[in-house]
Amino acid sequence: MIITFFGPFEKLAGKEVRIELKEPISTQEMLQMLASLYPGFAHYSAQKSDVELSAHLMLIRNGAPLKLADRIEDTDCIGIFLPVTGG
Amino acid sequence: MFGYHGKLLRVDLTQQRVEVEDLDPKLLKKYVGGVGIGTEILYEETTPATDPLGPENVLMAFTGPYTGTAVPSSSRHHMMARSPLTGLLGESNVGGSWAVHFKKAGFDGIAITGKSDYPVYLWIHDGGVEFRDARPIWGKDSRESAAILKSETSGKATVAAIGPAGERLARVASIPHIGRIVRAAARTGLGAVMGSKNLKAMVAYGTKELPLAKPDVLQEDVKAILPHVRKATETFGKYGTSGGIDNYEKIGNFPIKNWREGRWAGASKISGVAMHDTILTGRRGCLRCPISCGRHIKISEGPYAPLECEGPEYETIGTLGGECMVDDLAAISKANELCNRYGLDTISTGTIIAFAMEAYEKGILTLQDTDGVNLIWGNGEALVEMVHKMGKREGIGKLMGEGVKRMAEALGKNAVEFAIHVKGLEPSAHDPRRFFSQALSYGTAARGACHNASWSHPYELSLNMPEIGIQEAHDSYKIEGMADFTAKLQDLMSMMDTLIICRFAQVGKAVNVTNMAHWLNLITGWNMDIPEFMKTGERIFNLKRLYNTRLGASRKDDFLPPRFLTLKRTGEGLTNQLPPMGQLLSDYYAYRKWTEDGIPSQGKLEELGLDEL
Repeated sequence: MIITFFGPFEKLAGKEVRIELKEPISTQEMLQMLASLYPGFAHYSAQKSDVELSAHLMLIRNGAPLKLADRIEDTDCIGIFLPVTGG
Repeated sequence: MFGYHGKLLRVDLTQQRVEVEDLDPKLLKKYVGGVGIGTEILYEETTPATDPLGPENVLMAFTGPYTGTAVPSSSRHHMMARSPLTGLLGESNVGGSWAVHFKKAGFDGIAITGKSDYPVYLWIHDGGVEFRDARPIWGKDSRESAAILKSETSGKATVAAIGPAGERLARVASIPHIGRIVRAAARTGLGAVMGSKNLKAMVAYGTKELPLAKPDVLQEDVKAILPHVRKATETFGKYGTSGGIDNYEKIGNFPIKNWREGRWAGASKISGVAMHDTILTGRRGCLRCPISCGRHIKISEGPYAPLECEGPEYETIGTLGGECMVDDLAAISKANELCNRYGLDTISTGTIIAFAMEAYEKGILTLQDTDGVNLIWGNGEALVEMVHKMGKREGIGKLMGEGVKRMAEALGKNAVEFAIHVKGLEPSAHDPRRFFSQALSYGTAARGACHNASWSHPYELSLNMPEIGIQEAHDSYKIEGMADFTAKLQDLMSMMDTLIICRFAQVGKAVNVTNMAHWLNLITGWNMDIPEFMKTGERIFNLKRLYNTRLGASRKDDFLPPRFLTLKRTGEGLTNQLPPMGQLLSDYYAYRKWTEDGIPSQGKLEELGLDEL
């Protein structure tokens, strides 16, 4: 899978990382994987629910948000962004 | 009576007379506060013959039971009148500090009628209300005016002062509120209503204590939840309302090129992250708000320097930036500051300039029409110049100040096809092709294309509220259930505008409906459960609809502009979906128990206690 980092997350992990997946993993597992590679992600991998996570970041795949329980495959491209915006 | 002073200020500008009216406790229980009571008064005291810019229009500002209490993010009030922009219900909810000062002066709301013979301002304080001569400041911008009026009254006061745009009756004029920070009652042209009454400003400062039913319990309850609120809104506060622009551009929610395009690389240059990393000097919050999403910026170099002021918010960046393809954060910041000074709604202003850019591209407007301004996409200098013209109502700026609907009708040819508005109100920066609940909300909101009527986009992405039947985030394109999902959120937002509490208290689910109802009961001594709480919100939403129904609004007015219904955007990751508005509306009316024409049924009105209206 390819993960692209936007905004402040780019400072934690660079622009992009490619991680090979032998089998699908959950979004929660992906965040734990990122936390092991980049300690700055530990805070985010500790979030226990989609609502809690949504306060801090948004994971987007094909223009749609990912939930913690969603499965991610090796062919997926994922963006990590700051969350809700608006006035 | 707890949570209220029970006092409504009645101001007749023609006679320069003030009366203090006791608010009926039954009215307070029925509508609670803010938008609820404001709508009731507007319904009772204006008619279809009321000229929005005539002395008979009623301009109101209402607080709610939360105002002046420890409830987080509650320093807000709701302003209302018949809108000169839409001709329908006009409303704008505003933060800052004016609401608290006004309520501490001993009043819950103010209703203003008539027209003064000469410009005046109101000085509202513990001792009452004074009419004061505003002729020396007529023509000055809102910031200059506020500085002078504070020196004449109290340095601690907050000043709600219109600028030249409101004085000159621009239908997109706002009412900037200037205290420690600047916040504006921007939408639906209420600044022009003030201008039409020769009312330059309302200055407020008070110190009276508000009686609460259980103040100690409220204090403890709020104290206990504050760490959670701070944690849930930490990221939002750090990067501000525009922090997630990259995200919204990627998923197709960010408006680009007058809503024509799907993707734009310029978005990342004007996001809250870019602002944070370049020109941000600090955060500014509304009074006692733990979130502090407001930005303070400083620009020291370049054509717009020196500039030190509030930074632009998400909606402002989306309209002045994305819609106009201006990727220069300094130009957007300058235009934003000018809007605050002239007293212009940044959302409407950005949409109107984007419309003018498209008209220029299509040859409907020429260089002669623009007085030599090269109104091409992305021209930041032209953006700033057009704000000047709109604020001063000079040249083409006079027509632009009438709003995009009237401007398109005046230009003729096919201009109406790319004039983006609902009921005459220019939309905020959320694309209804990305969030179908947003399409419904734009269509059915009383004031026109308003995302805040449902604030549903975060609920389509991640939020839930099981107490009101929203168990999980709703799929953006799933038609089944979209009507009740949107309606429930509209009812909840109606309550939030009546209590009053900021939308952003929902970020990360910092505050939920259980908290809101509990705090209301601690403040008032009532025992309102969540079903009654939501029923009250539904009553208010229906009353707003009734107001517009009486003015002839119906299903025909609930459709979106053609571009949203027919133009598929292209770009990586975009879904190409278009909102099926006919079906969405029919489902929605059925859920609301409105007729197929969008009129509340007699049965529904009886159920809500509105059948006598």
